[in-house]
Amino acid sequence: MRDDQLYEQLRKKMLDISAVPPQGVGPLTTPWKKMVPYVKTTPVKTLVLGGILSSIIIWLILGSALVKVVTFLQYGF
Amino acid sequence: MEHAISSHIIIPLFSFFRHFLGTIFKPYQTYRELVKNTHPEESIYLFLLVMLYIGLASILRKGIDSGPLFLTLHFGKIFWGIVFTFIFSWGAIYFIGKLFGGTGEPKSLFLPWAYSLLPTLCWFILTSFFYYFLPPPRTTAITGQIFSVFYLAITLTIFYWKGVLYYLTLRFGHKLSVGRIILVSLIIFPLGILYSIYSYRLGIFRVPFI
Repeated sequence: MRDDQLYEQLRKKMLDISAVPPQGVGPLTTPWKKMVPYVKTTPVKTLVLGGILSSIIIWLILGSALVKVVTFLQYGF
Repeated sequence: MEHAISSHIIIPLFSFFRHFLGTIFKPYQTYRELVKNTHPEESIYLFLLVMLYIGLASILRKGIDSGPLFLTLHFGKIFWGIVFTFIFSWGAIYFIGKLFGGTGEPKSLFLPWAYSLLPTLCWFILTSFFYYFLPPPRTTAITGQIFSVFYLAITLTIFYWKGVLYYLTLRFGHKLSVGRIILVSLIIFPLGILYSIYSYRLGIFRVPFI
């Protein structure tokens, strides 16, 4: 009986894994497969870090013009 | 009667909370479940949250002194705008995904796309909060720039979250590869921009609730 449950769990897991075909992005497959586990396992940290880095880069590019972008967004709701 | 209440109200409510947290902490696993569309009625709680937000935002934007008729009209305009936007974007994802070899059905895309409204709702709630406590416009003083970087960091984090959920909708809903998702996006994103401009000109949204 316990083996049957284990078999059913394994079967369900295999069906889940094979629901979509393996991912390939041509020459970018290796960096893609390195990046995806971070989003799968620690999505909050990854996305927050990405947001902070992106905003600093945009601030370095736009400078004080960033203020106009943020003002526009703040009126957006 | 009790079975009807638990199966149609309580179980979808627990399912909604579980999936809500899942979209934040375990998006891949959550979207594998959502595609199966086991409890489509849990989307009602999501849309109730959206309606609650629209009500509060209408009061915040227009002021409670503007009167119940005006507030109701404003609420109705935004509510139907959001409903139409959701149906339009859901249909676009289905049909354009199909064009590029997607095998999903509308019902397998419904819950995943509905839950992708959560980042949108979070951003609108955040923006409303800052509109009330730190109303625009921002200045170029150092405090204005620090707040601008902080606000943009949160906005981009939420935007990336939305991007992940959009990707997972197409990945698990239509079973598309990254390459085909990019091709679908090359059609959907310009459509979304045109729709945003159109809805801005009509005075429905400044930033679309997609």
